[in-house]
Amino acid sequence: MANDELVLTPEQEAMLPAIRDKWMEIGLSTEPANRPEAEEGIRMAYARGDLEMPEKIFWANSPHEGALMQTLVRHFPLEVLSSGIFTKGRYARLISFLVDTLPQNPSRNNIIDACNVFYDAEGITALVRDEDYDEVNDTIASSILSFTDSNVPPSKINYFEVYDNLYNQDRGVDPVEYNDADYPEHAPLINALFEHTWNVISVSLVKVLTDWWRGLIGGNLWAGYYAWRWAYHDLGYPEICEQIDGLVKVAQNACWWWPLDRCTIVTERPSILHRDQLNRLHAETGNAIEWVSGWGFPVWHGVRLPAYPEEIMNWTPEQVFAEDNTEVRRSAIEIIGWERFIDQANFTLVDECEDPGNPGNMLSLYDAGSRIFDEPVRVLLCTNGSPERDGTRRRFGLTVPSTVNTAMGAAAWGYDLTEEQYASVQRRT
Amino acid sequence: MNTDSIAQTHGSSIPTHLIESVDIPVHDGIQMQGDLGFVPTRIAASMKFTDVPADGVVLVRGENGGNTHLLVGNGLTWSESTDEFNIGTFVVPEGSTGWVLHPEHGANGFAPGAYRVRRQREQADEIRRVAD
Repeated sequence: MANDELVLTPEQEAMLPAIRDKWMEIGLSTEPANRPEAEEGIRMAYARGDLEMPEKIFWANSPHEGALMQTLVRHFPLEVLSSGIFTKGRYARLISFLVDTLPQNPSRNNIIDACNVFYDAEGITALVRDEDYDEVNDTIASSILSFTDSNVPPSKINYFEVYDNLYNQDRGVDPVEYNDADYPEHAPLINALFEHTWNVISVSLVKVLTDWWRGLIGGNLWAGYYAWRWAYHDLGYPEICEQIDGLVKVAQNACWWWPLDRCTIVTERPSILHRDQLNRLHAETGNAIEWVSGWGFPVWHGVRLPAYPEEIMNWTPEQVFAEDNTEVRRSAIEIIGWERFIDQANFTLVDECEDPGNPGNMLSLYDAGSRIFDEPVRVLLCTNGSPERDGTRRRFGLTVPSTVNTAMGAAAWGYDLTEEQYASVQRRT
Repeated sequence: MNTDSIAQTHGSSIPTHLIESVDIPVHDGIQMQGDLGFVPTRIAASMKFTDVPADGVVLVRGENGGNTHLLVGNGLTWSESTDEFNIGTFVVPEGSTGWVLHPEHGANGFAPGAYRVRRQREQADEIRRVAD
């Protein structure tokens, strides 16, 4: 049966809510990844793609860490990576340095700057210049291979020996000892190679870091897609789903992953995931989404924040208005509280009246100009019609077009009513 | 009719922090409940109405149960709209009362008549719905 001829029976339609709920749970899971199951799924996916099985599966504790790890994987032979690159040595230090230093959304220049700071600190002279970025796209492996091929008889040295040496240096073993004792003729090569290595890494690392999304598969965070695609399996058409059984199995057990040649990078699920009533990422304090490594970000009703809400709470109006993103500005004002913010920002009161639907409470209209949005607006400060659970009534701001001149007109505009209609409101809860 | 009897009849929960067992005012004019407005209206011939089932019609759904506006009542009919700011129209027949329930805003009562359900909007860089 072709897909486009498929018409669901009432019984099949009745199964859809359960399928939806199952995938909602998968997509929102904050349980630790089920590593054996996820790795099984990865192997199934490689098999479906007729690919060589990955020799090694590396686990990352956050998508951020995974993105950095996939950069290194694309630059180094697996033998080197398996020797502990992600847990010790210079590359482990580079990863943790970048994790600590880079802002949430690093630009290419952020990465270049961070790498340069790291190289300086490590005493490496390879400066990454902007113009290098587009010129060099070689992998470190091919560079080293060509270097060794042209300079050293293959019988005497291979590039894994060179790597061993570099890693010995990382581990604190004096490379000079190694060179002098066994291969004195290689000492200049080792030094030159080291320089060359970092020249190449520092440029191509930046490129791959900024291309972190290439080859990415979303795992459980692509639940929406898999829910639709795998629903046919549960509805009784397993034969049209078998090609993606591996992908689905990974999604059911882990987060982002990068299937690469010979190895796979796969990521833990988030450990924290908070949402608001409209299902947008949202947390009143701290990160709305966070992984076990501690990496994550603060989100306010779906708007990603440049700082934690508890810090934004103390922002001055100048700090709020300095934010480029109007949604961030709006969110910051909500965090600070409209009443307090209007007071601090000295918005001009345009008009005030009693709220006809909410006896005893005032409607106050202030002019905000273009300081909140690009579009000039006015702000109607009003009081919630129902008490909060603690008995207080929340005051909140509603933004209206700058052409509205009265508080009553602003309240009416919100519901597309005339001022007269709003004045006749019988009850507001 | 009070919030308790509505809750019993319709299986909806009304939060205890709102005054329990008070009679809910029933009006035939404009009312608001959070981000929804209810405006007396006329029925156009083009509108197609369906019966409001015993467990009600969800006007706005909040997944965690916190934001659902639920329309209930005997003999009510409902016509859904596709306009972002105009959710639809309900009709309360003679001799009946319509109720819109919300876990935080409580309940509003509607006398016989037809009511257009509007969603509140705000002016940002474009006009958009208010997220209650």
